Amino acid sequence: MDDLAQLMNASASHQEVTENGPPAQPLQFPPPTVGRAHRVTAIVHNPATSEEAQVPNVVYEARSDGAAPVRGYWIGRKLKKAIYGCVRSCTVLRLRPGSTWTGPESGAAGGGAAWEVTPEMAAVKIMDWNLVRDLRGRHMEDPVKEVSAMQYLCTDGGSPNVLGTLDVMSDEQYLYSFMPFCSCGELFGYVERDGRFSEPVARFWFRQLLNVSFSSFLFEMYSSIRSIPTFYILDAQHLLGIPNHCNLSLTCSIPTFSVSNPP
Amino acid sequence: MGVSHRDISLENVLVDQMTKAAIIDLGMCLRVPFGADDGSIVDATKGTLRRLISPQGQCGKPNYISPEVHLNTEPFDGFAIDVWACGIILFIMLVGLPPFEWANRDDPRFRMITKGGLALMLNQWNRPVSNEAGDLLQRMLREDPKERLSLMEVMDHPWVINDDASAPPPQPDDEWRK
Repeated sequence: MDDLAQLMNASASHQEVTENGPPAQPLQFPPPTVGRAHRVTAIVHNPATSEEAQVPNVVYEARSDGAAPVRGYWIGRKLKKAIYGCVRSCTVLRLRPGSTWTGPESGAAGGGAAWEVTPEMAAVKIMDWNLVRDLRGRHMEDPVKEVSAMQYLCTDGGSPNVLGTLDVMSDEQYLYSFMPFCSCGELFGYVERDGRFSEPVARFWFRQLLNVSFSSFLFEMYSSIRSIPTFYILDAQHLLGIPNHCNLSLTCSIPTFSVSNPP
Repeated sequence: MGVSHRDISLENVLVDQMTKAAIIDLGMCLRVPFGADDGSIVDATKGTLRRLISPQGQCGKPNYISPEVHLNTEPFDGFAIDVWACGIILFIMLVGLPPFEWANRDDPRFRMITKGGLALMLNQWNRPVSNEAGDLLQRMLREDPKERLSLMEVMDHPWVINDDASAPPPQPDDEWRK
């Protein structure tokens, strides 16, 4: 959507949208790009300690051209239950420098592990295909649409305030959606901890939400049009100097808020 | 990108490095239809105005569902339902409680807020907010989406453009989050 169209849609009244034509069905997202997952037990090298260990649940993309995978994921502890499975943390793996990829049994030059751990963490939403088939069409949440939408929103770099996608893979049993990891949890947890926010803090988060909810580019563009000082721009990475490789976390939605009686 | 999330909530906003918000859980989102000059339906890339969406069923978390999605009888604006949910989030951030369980007229708190009594209700709760915050919340939480603020009006609101925004102060128990 170009800039003017974004402004037009952000400022349109309900009446204007109504008069734009009869209601329509939502459009389909493009089909997701899903790699073929290979889940193995592998020997993994830790360059920090020079130790090697045999670890289960290493997942990587088995590329159809036989080329070496870009990265692997060592799937770890469960973070949260999800409708179609669960969310787990992962350690991102890379192939050891000098290793020759010949398939799952690959080893480093001179023998030893093909994989080594990196400092990077990820999260993976693991969805059981049996549950997906059982519940699809009967549950409002659609895991295939979710990965399609995530990839769609990551087109052209995506938004700093929408959790991106690293890899989507599948095997006969599971659909794996790998995402950046964050260690700070849900904003809900901050409200629970603090009771409520001061207005400056609420404003800090709310501005990011405006960016999250609609368009990553709109607010920046609109801000510049209105000659708002740079610090109003909602891109927290620019605002706070957070590097691009910052980690995000993944949890899934399980409603936990119940209405309390007002004081 | 022309997407309506339909499930915006505090539980679906993650925090990174104490300061960066990222939204998750797109499993209920919709790709909003846009109208072309010839009357056909196109996507957001064509630079046209969006259309209303035919009812798609109730979805989202109870506290955050807009009245029109809760009723599920009339076409809805995919942007307006997300504005509603953002209004609920702002309410909870400022007040510490959700305004009501469901957005329907059986709930007395819903009736009070949608009749313009939001500030009065917060005073009765002994949780007052500034006049500007009260005005923004009141106008984001209009029952009729025709009367609700548009995204641009939210972005332009005096409370939003106020200079005074700050990251949450560090807490003693924050260390574990790193």
